[in-house]
Amino acid sequence: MKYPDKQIIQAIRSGDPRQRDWAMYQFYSDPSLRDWVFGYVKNKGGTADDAKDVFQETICTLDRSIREGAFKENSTLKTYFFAIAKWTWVTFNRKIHKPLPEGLPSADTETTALDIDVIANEKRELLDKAIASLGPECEQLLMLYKLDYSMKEVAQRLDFVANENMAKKKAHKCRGKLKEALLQQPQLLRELNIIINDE
Amino acid sequence: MNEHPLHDKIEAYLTGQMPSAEAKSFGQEIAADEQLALAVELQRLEHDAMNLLLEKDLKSKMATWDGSPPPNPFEGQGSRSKSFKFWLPIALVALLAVWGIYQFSGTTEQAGTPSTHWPDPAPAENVPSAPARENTGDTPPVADSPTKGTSAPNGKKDAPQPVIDDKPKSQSAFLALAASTYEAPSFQSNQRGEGKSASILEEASVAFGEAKYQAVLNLLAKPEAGNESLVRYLRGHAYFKTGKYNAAAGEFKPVASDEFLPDYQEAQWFLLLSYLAQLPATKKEFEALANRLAADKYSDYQSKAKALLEKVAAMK
Repeated sequence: MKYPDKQIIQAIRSGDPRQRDWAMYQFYSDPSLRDWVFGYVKNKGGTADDAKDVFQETICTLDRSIREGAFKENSTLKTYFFAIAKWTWVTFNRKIHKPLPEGLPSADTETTALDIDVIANEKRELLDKAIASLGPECEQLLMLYKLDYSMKEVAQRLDFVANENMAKKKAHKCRGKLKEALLQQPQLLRELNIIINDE
Repeated sequence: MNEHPLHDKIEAYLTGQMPSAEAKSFGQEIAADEQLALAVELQRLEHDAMNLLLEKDLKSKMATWDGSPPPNPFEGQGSRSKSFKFWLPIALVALLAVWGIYQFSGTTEQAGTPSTHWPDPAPAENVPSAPARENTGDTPPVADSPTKGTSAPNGKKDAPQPVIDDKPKSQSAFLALAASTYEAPSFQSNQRGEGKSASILEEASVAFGEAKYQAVLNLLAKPEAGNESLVRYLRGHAYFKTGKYNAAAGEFKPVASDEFLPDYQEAQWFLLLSYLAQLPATKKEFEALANRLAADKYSDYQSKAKALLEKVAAMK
């Protein structure tokens, strides 16, 4: 990594999309990380396409882990990246229904200690459907909300929001829309053990 | 964002903004109340959906990065020179501090006071129980030499006394190399684990930062500390710092054998240093691990292992 871990972590946690993109690009463009993941996946029987998916998924998980505080800075970012990549490969392998190669532990062993919550298949399907019903304005607004923007900053950044108050109302509306979209798929919710009583 | 107080409470719980005591009691409430648990799960799903939005956005950006990298937001601010300007005074102050401490410890030692930076006086299992050697100057001053504290309260530099060293020269040199190569990691940030285990780990981490290695061992010997990888890893460091290299190796080894553990690579490196400190008795283990690390292009420690092998070869 060309830059110190601290700088990269700060950029991701800043919430500023430009800084976050820059920080993520540091991982994306680091040939040693890419080569490592490609070598690792290939070594475990995966293809180049699998490796590409695992590499990108690892970056996304890393972003989330840093943003949400799952990464406790007990190791270097590089070491943490490798640990996530290994774990991502295990879940990826399960996702494409390949049997785990011999000698590879199942994901529910020590690996869970990494506190990485990779969105499972069923859940992703549910979330994808819910997201699709949101519309671009709500998408943009909820992304900023998730990046911990204040309503004032949201209003400053988005053209379609005039002021802080309006941002608040719109955000509330968008969250409501998202919740409604989730509730419209009771079958998938049941699969996730979320059983809503129809009252 | 939402005027409903329960919604806000759940939001604070899910985003980690709730104080830990309150979060604990809210967690108990959730466990006892099925409806509340459902509300929390549903709200968690909303957060997952928002994370998925960010993930999709990030992936679509990645698709364009091969052709056009994102702009550097720090450009123009002279981030590198700024960082250099930031670190340079700190480095100078640190150098001065090290020099000052070195001078000060020299003065106090000359005055007949035992060195204050010695580790807790735990018996060093790999160090002979017979009178230990003096600090003859071939031991790097930066490392807590495990031979310190076992005897020789008067480590005078300018009044050499007869050196009693019942250790072969090469053995002392290996030990010195291990001590000077060793760099303790920082354990001061938040620790993993849950409940009592987490609080003991945190306490032990603080004690480690304060160089109270025996206190670390006492804390981690408590049954409630558990035996998870981080406990073993920290215990390994405490043993190393108290000169119990064989015990240190025993703690590092299981962590170093499971590539899925977060401290796996670090544990391999410190296991290697534990073997190095015990050379030539652990020649076989040292060579096997050092060669493996030196050949492993995926290891963070490949270059360090290579350099260490060269140094050991030169010593021979």
